[in-house]
Amino acid sequence: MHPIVRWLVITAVAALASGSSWAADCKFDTDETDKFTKVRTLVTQRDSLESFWGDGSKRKQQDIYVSAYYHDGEQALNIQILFTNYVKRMPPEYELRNAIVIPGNSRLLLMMADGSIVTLNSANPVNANARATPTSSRVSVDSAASIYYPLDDERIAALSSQSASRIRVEAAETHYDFEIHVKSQDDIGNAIKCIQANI
Amino acid sequence: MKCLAVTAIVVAMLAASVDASAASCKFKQNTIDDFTQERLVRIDWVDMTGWTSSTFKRTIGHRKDIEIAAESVGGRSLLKFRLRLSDAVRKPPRESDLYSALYVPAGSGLEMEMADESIIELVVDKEVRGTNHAKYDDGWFVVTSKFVVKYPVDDALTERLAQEDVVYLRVAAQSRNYDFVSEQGTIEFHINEKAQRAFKKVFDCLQQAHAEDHA
Repeated sequence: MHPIVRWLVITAVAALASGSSWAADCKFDTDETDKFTKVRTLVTQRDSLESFWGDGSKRKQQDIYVSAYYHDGEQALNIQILFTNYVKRMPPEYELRNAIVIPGNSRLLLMMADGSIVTLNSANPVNANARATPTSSRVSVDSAASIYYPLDDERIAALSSQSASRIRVEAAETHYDFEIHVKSQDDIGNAIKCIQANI
Repeated sequence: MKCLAVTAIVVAMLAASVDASAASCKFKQNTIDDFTQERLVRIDWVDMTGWTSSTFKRTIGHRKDIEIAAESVGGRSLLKFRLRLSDAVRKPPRESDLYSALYVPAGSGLEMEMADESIIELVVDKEVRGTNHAKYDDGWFVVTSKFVVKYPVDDALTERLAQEDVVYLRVAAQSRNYDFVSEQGTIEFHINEKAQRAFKKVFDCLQQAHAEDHA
């Protein structure tokens, strides 16, 4: 077989295998059943939705992770957002308080491949403080928040039927926008499908 | 003759650049939000005091710098001021001193005195606490406070501020331990000609962006 033809065949087989095997590739951070209540909890392994290299900015970095969650018949999407800022001076304690404030019922907007917007609402209020760590030349200020957005059948169908390209996490008096890296655009749908296939 | 020609060219170029700067708007952002389909307009900060940051650092205490900007989300506009204040004290500040050094409670007012002596009053959109620092400098602790206050403005006021001169500003705020706020509870600024041009340009640009939206 000609080397180019052989390479094309191998590539096509690999692509088909990766496309069809998401269910087999499901990885879970948690898959346990409570011995007393017999309630099952499933949490998929979290995936970063942004590029490994970030935006290259040295002053500010952000990342977003997603996992799907199942507990006692309820399903949710868990979004973790992380921010790192670099500043010259150690900030006073009061400036680190309430770095991320997400009131209960805040919206998560997901822009899907066809341009439609899927909206989820947060389950609980989230209030996260930042942490300052001096480095050799500057002070790194990190903040992180983990937010749960309950899923119903309609949202599950909408999110697992196509890929998502952008995310907006609405917070108190602001919002955080994330561009989903092209390689990660199926991750949200796949995480939900993993839960669906295993419950 | 050659010298005169060069001078004439330089003068013409300078005049042209002044005209261009008056007409051109420096938008930090002028886009449509993909999620909401609303127009987002951000006009970049324009200095109103003319003090460079190096001058600010060299001058111990009692400095007041102010910059102006504006933003609009779906036609809802905000007038923004970025203030930087300094005071010099002998006593080393504690964290609690810095915490209460500058505070603008929700509902605090802004008074703008216009050239025709009328007063425009606005109300801050949310509470603001200054980002405050202290630095030791030759026997003094120089305490600085930086903060941004935002005031909602409607279309009629945007149009008025693009055409008329503001001559005096009073920003209501609270301060403990430091000389940032007057006895009347305000931070006050005389608006000179340079600052008046900055003011009018910001609102002229905001109007241009709104006009684009309606076109």
